[in-house]
Amino acid sequence: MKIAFFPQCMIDMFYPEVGEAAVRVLERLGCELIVPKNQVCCGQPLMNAGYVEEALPAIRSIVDAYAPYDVVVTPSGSCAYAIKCDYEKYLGADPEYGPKIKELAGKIYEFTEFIVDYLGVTNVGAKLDGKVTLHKSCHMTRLLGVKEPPLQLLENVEGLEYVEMEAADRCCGFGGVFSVKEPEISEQMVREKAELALATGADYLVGCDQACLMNIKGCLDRMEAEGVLPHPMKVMHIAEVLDSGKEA
Amino acid sequence: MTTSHVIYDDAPLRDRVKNALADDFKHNAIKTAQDTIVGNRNKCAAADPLWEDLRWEAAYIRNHVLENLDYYIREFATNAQAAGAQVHFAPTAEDAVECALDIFEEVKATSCVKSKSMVTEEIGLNEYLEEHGVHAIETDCAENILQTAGSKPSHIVVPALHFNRDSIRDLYREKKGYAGSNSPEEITKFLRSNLREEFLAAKVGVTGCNFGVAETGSCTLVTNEGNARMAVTVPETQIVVMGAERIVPDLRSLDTLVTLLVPSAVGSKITSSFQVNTGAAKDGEADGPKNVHIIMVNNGRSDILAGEFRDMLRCIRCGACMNNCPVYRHITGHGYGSIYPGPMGVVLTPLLEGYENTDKLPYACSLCGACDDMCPVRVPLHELIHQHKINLVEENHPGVPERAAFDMAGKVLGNRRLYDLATGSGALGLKILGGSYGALGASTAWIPVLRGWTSSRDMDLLADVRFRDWFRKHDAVAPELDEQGRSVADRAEEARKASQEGGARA
Amino acid sequence: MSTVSMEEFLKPFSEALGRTDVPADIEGIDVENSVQFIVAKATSPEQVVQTFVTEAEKIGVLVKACAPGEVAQAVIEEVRRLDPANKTVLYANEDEAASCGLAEALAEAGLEAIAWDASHGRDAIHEASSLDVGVTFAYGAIAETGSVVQCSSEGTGRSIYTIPPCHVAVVRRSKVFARMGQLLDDLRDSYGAQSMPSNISVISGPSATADIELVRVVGVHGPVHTAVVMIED
Repeated sequence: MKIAFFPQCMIDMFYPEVGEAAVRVLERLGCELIVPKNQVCCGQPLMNAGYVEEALPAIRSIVDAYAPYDVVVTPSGSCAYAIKCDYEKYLGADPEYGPKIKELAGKIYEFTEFIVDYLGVTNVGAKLDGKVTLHKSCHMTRLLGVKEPPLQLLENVEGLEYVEMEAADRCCGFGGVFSVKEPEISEQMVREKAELALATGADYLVGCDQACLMNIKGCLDRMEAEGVLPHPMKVMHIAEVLDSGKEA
Repeated sequence: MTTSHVIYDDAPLRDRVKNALADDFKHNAIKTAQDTIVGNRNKCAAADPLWEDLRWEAAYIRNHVLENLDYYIREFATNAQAAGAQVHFAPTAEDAVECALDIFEEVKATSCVKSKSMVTEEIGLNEYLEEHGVHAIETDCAENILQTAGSKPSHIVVPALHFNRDSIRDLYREKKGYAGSNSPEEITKFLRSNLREEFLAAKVGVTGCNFGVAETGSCTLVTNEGNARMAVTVPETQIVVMGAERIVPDLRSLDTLVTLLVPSAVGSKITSSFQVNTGAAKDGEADGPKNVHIIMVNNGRSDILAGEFRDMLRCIRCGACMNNCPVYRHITGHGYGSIYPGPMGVVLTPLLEGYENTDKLPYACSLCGACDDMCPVRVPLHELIHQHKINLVEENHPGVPERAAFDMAGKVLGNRRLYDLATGSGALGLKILGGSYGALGASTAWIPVLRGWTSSRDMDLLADVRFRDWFRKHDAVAPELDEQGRSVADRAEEARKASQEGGARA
Repeated sequence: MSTVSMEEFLKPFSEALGRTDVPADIEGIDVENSVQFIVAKATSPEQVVQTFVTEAEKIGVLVKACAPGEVAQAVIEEVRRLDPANKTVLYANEDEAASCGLAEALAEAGLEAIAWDASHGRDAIHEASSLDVGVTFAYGAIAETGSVVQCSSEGTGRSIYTIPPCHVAVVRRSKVFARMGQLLDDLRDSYGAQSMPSNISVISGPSATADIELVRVVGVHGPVHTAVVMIED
């Protein structure tokens, strides 16, 4: 099965290990991956900040890059949502791109959604010892509506104990440009998110959106530097969890 | 100082946020209120198997009214008049307050008892009346606390949460001669007897209107404290101020809306009092208002109806959106500086006041969509807030440097060659892409999202080898195969093919 | 007065909707099959009454069932139960009061019975403010929320069910509806949409507030104690 993979730009630039883990998981499941050469960013940070005009080059380049493939998978719930639903709003009426956007919307999957709903697997044979809590990122959970797949996959990881944090689906305060424009508010939000996650006593905080994870990890690192971190908690993308316990 | 009634604090958003965050009591009070009200609201919603359907129905009812708003205003007003009410039509806030004052002069009253109403705050009724020698006594406990203290609401349903019991005790000791303790029971008892005298002496009662019912011309009031009941029992004259969009077609629609309003607003199934008042008291009735004046307010609503924010007019002012908002949770109502706070306020305030004084407000939102989940009439709040952001950019509010940064980011993120130049090994092009942005260094200067981040969080640095570079060179991992030599993907593909063929045969 | 005529007021709304005039007629709303009626229709009368009693209890209201001949006695018991110190009872001047011999029974029980007298005009309101209990005959009740629905009239001043600290409502079992929508339908059909009572109060327990630190306090401006007598008709 040939799959076009969209790594998401933050993973590409800052967290290649997440993309690498996702690739290994999918390859073990028998997928043959392609990463189109010209793909960069879905344009979501620009769109969310209101810069629709400025986002159009990114949108066009993603559509051009992925239109030729039958199935597209991305380890980012919010990028999947942007491509699936936002493109239509801003470029859906374009005679050239409109039809391609509609088609792309029907064939893009978030990583866990693809594994559970498309491939029909909830156990990928991963092993990870420890307590895990999940940050249910906003766009993936609420807007894209992918709620169960990450939980189903975590449930089947050998050695893993899942603990739900309070307000797991509350925003971590990233929100793209929000965290930069309103850092004081964002700081409160991420701090509360980190504290609620820590309160579960989890060893790992897991999520399906690297941007949120970067935000929360940044806060945990800062807490550690300030000496107020009650216990260590490792931040992991779910792809890394599903890649755990395997021969590299 | 602004002349607006909607915006009560025109300090920069950042200052308002800082002030709100500096008040730990308020911060915690709002968190507790959110957790309590949303928790109870969710219990109500979970207990009602029709809840989600009711939300669709409510959205349909409100849309139907908006699509025919001129018709329904006329039907409502005609029926209200036939039932003995006088209906006044106020195109602007000024018209509305002047109309109210005229009524006071006509009945020679210099005070009134008032039950909680957002639209009267929107038009600045109390202030205007006060300037003209008419004192409006707020009879809702929380509103009375705010009025006595000269403070502004931190929440639209429970607006005095930023006062603790000690400060309320002290307030009434100082201003009203209260001699009791700080117990909420005792303070409430004091307010009951204190305000009872005001009620019994009142010649005019001023109320809002949760919904006008077109088929009967009725005005409805939802309250818990019974103050609105008093306000429509004792005074001879009642003034109802209502936003012209707050209409439902009939009593059946009213049921749907009220069934959603109360749990959404306070987290209980119903409040102690819900009233449907139609016209004036009938001949022979000894109590109830002899004269009912309904002031219908436009104040920008027809403009909203005409534009891309029409869905906002579905809003029934329940406050559920702010109860679930992670931003509101921290900055409280005061962070917004508007009588309409939270997500609904972020949408509505710029529509009422224009972007000039509100162009920072839409950024007090992370677009998480938690508000949409709660809204009983399914206003797509986060999308409307996003629309404000788009409009602000179009009108160039964020300014030239930001636009330049985003323009640059758009170019880099939309063009693989520029992106390679900015992020590839050696990152040859970094210098041409811009100056220094703090700890991150120039390498990420073109990503506006990351600027200014490091005050509260640590930032990971650009990876040595990007994912894409790794991918090009990596050796694929062998697929895990079952006994028949098939991978998970093979089996999925077979199943898909079989079901497609099955579908084709059928 | 700086207001405008209705026609003038409506203009911008019509324009916003892309038309020059208010249409004479529109396609009405379809709430015939409103979801609220699905559950209501599926509930048996027995269940409806049972729900009413349970829901009323949840909001602190005891529903006392009684036979048609025992109404006055039941009211007296409730008056005493709500507050043993109750002495004065203001009751609605309706046929139901006369037919159950309420005034006589109250007097016999040593309670002072005062009929609502609309001929006193506004003074009647002030008279009500010194009395202990109001007794009214409700239009009906709503099971889902445990509410009683009271309509005002010449004989039933709003003051009776608003001003005294205690309120006892008498309701007939046959007028307990599953949902508010059904009751309002029934009420509209019996009064007529153009001649509704001037005040319909859906009363769900005593007045309450949570305005101070979200602490629930019962008894604010309206009645502090409420009870329901349900006639098994």
